[in-house]
Amino acid sequence: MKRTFVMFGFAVAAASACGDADGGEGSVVFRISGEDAAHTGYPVPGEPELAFVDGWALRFDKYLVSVGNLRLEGADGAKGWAGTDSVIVDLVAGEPEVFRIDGVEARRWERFSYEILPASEGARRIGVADGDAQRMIDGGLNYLVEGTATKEGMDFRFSWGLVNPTRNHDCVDSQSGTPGVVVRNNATAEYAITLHLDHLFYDHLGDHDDADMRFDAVAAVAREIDGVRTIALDDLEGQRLADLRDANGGPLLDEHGERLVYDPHSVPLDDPNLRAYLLAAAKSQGRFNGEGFCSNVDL
Amino acid sequence: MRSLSFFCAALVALGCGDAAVTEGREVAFTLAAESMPVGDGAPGRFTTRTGWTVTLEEAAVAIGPVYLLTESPPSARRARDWVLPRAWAHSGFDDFQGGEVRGEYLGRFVIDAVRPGLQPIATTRGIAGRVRSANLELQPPAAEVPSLHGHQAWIRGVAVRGDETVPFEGGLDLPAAGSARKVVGIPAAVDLDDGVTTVIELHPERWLAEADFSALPEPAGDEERRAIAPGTQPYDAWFLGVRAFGTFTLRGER
Repeated sequence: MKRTFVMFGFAVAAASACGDADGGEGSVVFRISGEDAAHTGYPVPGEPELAFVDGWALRFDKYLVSVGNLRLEGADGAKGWAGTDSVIVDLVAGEPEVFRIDGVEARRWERFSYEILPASEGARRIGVADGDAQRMIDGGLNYLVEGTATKEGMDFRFSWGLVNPTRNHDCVDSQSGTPGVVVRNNATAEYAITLHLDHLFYDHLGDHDDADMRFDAVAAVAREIDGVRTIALDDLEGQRLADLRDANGGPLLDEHGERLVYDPHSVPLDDPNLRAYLLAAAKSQGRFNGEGFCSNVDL
Repeated sequence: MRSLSFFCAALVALGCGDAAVTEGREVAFTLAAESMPVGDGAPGRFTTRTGWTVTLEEAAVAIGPVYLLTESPPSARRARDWVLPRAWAHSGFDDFQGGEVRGEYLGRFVIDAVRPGLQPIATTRGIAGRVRSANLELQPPAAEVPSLHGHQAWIRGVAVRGDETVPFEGGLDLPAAGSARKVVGIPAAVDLDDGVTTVIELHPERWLAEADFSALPEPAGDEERRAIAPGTQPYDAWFLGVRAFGTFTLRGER
């Protein structure tokens, strides 16, 4: 995995007796995190450094996400919680507590899920300006990502509203490797909804194994708007995955001088262009407690 | 993805091999392939998104192993389905596992992509019940196959756009590393049972949908055809298209 791993160590309640009814009630708190990348941008310092292979640096000014509709269920079909509330939160601003559920039966809830869903009027807001929240609501956005990418002294701005809602379900706690969450009697368990921002920039889908983060293909569509080099999300439609172009219209070459392709493997895309690819890639950002895996489906 | 042998062993242990049980009994079924035509034409004749009308004269691809699976892929699932048994399907970066294996073919088979009609692969045994997805691999054949010309896939044909005519040929080879030889999450709705033929449908028009044949270099020496070779745009289009979602589909028939 090519990312700095944020160790929350929250699942302190997940001790022995996992899977057994514990008796009584407890609470569970969920924070949200975009990991180090939300704060430092790329490269993320570390060993190994998490960086673009084509020499870009990138900082996020905003990484807004609309998240909600948490559910806790047991493998036995028991219903622990079926939330209907949501929150719009800026991952750049920190790793705040976004949900707290009290009075939950103490036991392991094997099936935990949450939605990355279109922003709504009724959503709570954490660290989000009214104008940004309204843009998300008006556009039905579930992500709003703004920042600056830099290479060779040139800055490129982007402000992308993404519509690719998903339910992330059957999440596995990365700390224990076990499914769901554990609620203990008279205790508060803490977990984290984690978003892997690097997925947005990987050059292939299907597996992580040898994916590289790249930005040349994205930056190539930049236009100057009001004196600022700007990358519009819709302009990425012009980048065909099998025929990526550089800023001068020539074939886009990688660091080895070979033609570059973005490979979606068997992941369905609306159309094989870079905009559709980024939307598909961003669907896979939702994780649990760091590296914990969630299955996901489109909403 | 649990193997069929594991599943069969579990069935025997549970006494589920009883033929009276519809779901879960052992069945014999036929696996076949078919190259699908576009419209009423012969397979291998199509028009690309880039405006080229292509006629494939030769076209073949090696496939296998093939796994027929119990769970729907993410592309066929919606939020309400999250209550169904989990498939460990994380669209984007993690292989679709697909649940249990109902049927499998562990050999290699070369599909002739310009031949109309069914191409039988094997008659094999499986577990009765609904197949909701398939995963397959594009591994090289164990022995040399003339129609592949030493590659994993081969094409030869003519592309026409306006007054441009481009005869072409070339072979495709997929790296062994990563997922480059895997096609995962093919949606399906096949009830596996005795006498059922499960057909792997190949859509060769998807191979070259994004190809621009004008990007091929002029033929070298006495060659008559332009070479679709690594480093050319049509090769990249083929490389993506041969594994793209929709290139393979699945149907069942009696």
